Amino acid sequence: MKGMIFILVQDFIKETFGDEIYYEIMDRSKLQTKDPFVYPGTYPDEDLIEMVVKAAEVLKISVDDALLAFGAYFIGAMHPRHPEFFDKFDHPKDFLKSVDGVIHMEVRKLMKDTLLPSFKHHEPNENTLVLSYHSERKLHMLAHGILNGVAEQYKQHPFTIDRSKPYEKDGKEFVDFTLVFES
Amino acid sequence: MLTETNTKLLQRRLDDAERKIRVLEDMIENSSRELYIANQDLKHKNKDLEQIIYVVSHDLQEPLTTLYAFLGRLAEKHHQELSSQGQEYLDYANISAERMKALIKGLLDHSRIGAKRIVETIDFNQVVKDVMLDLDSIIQESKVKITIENLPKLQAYSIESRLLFQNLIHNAIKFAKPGHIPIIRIGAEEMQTHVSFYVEDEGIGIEEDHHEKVFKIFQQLSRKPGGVGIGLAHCKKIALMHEGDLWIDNTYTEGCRFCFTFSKGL
Ligand code: HEM
Repeated sequence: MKGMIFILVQDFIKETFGDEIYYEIMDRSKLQTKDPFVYPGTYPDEDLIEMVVKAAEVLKISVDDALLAFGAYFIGAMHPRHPEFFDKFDHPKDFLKSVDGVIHMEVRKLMKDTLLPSFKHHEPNENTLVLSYHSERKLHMLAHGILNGVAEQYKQHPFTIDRSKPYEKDGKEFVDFTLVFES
Repeated sequence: MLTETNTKLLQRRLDDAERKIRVLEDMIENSSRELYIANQDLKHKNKDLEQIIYVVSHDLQEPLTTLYAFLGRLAEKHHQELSSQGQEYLDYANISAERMKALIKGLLDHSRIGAKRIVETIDFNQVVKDVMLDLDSIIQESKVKITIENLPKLQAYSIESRLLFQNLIHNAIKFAKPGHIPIIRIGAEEMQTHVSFYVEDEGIGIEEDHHEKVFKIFQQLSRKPGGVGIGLAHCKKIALMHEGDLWIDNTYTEGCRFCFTFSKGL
């Protein structure tokens, strides 16, 4: 996983809980990476999971809740860094439809060694968008948190998020997010 | 007041930052090395390509000359024996040979651009005046109005600079609106590291979809007689060899405005 994600996790902890908690979590984490994480680096997924697991332990929350909270923070942190992705779309539905084809596509050009998830989408009716998440990393709780964050960014167009159980199709695991928009 | 814990935390933050800087410095160094190697590789590949273009176009000339000679003899000595259809075929063969000759010349010219690199101080007012002399007959014929505004003196490649202006001015005349007297405005603006030139006309313009395509070799938008569609590819190459670029201004709607930049640091 890219260093950017590691740094954002660390920033999230520092900003929300302060340096003391942050260093407590880092001291408990048994990381394969000995050097500090930097933005353009690429690090083992296990290190990210380890950090999140230890954060959940210290903060006495579940790992799922930790991923959810970080997901929402992630989108808030992306907005000032990459306003171009948000400015292009007035409606969260259009923004989310662009994740695979535009946003992550651009990310792939900007960074090397990425392994990005896929978000296939379809629209059963005008107010509904179904995003089918697939990734070897199985981080659907993070995806859910990110969707919460998107809702936060696009407050003027509220929507509900329903998450399916993981299911298998063509030997791959998917999780469907059904989003229903009020307008 | 700084408590002991606070001081410790601050110290840790500082250590982290220092270690990060070191990691980032290493990364920058590695990336620079990779970039340098990739750049060298590209330069070699570019050289190879130029060489191929040169060799191919050069070697194609010889059989073409033979073809010409025999077509000529056929027309001269056996004209009577040919049916009218046979003569028509011969005309077609001649036209194709002509076109092939023009294409090969275009390629050869293209590969020669930048082969001899001699930088001189050039007065671009003079360059445009020279080009206008070269194009005198077309200028007289078309009655084109050309205005030139404060062109600079600059270190540049003189033959190529002339070729660039010649192509752009010639194009502007060629693609004037039918029935209108062509109008061309040429000017320049000095920027920090580059000089930015423009050549604009009030002609038929180029659709935005084609703004990139026109700079590729043998891309012709219309079959105007006398061209094979390589002039703008020459121009692009010339701008690039001046460490600048050439493009069509898509905010200009009166016709076509070509903008190009030349580095001031050649
Ligand atoms: C707004 C700009 C965004 C940027 C710049 C961005 C960038 C990234 C980057 C760099 C990664 C790490 C990939 C790797 O290390 O291989 C990532 C992962 C991820 N992104 Fe995005 N992303 C953006 C928006 C979104 C949105 C809107 C969603 C969801 C709808 C999303 C869902 C995910 C998920 C779930 C992952 C975790 C990796 C996985 O599941 O395999 N991202 N993103």
